[in-house]
Amino acid sequence: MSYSRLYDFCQTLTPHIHRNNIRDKVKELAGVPSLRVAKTALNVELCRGFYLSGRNKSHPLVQQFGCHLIVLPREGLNRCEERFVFVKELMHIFDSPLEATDTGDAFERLLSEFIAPNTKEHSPQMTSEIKCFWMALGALCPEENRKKFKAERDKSQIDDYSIALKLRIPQAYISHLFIPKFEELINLLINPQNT
Amino acid sequence: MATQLELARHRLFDEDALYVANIKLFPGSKRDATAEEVAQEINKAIAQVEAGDFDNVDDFNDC
Repeated sequence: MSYSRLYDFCQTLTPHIHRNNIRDKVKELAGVPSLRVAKTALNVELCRGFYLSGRNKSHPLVQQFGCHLIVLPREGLNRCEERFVFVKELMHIFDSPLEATDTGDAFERLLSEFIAPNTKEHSPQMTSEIKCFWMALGALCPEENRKKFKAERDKSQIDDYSIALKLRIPQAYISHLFIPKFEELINLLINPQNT
Repeated sequence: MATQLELARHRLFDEDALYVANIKLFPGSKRDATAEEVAQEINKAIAQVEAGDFDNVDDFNDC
């Protein structure tokens, strides 16, 4: 499974992991010849970035950028936020066909789920949004480093701000690295057949 | 006049438009953003990119 191989690759890297390295490995694993990134005006209160894959090869945007495009805001995100947004969107290249948002109905449902998540059941599209968040965390923090940070954090020798600086990811997401089920979550992502 | 959501649906999913195979997004910080507001933002971003109003990012400087 491609994310499993990406995860293994990231374990060999030293934080802070460069986006170009993750991007190039994802392209190789997914067999994607081109992935483009464009920055434009985006109100980060409403959307901090998006990934899209266009199928109409006659469309000017697909002709210019190829099939895979990630759009990021020109302003409004600090470097750590932008790094995380990009890597999370990049993970959607691994989405299964079932998880793809490929109809207007699926798109509307996804937007409504962001506003009011269904507590009982998520759409496959929303499930992939959640998965890719954890996939990004797993890619940006090698397990050896995570365990070391955890040991130091448990002894109050390091705080979340310092860990965020070392990883160059938003401080808001650091605590997620240390939830009791983190290893279990990552194992489900790298070994999905075990679900 | 079509709503922003209707416009986004046509622009993204019509076979003679982008005919998107997948679109995913990182939501904004506003907790009560409406689907219409988010769709408008996506519409604006795509329109800007189509019009050439974007900065290309070949590589990130993560040093």
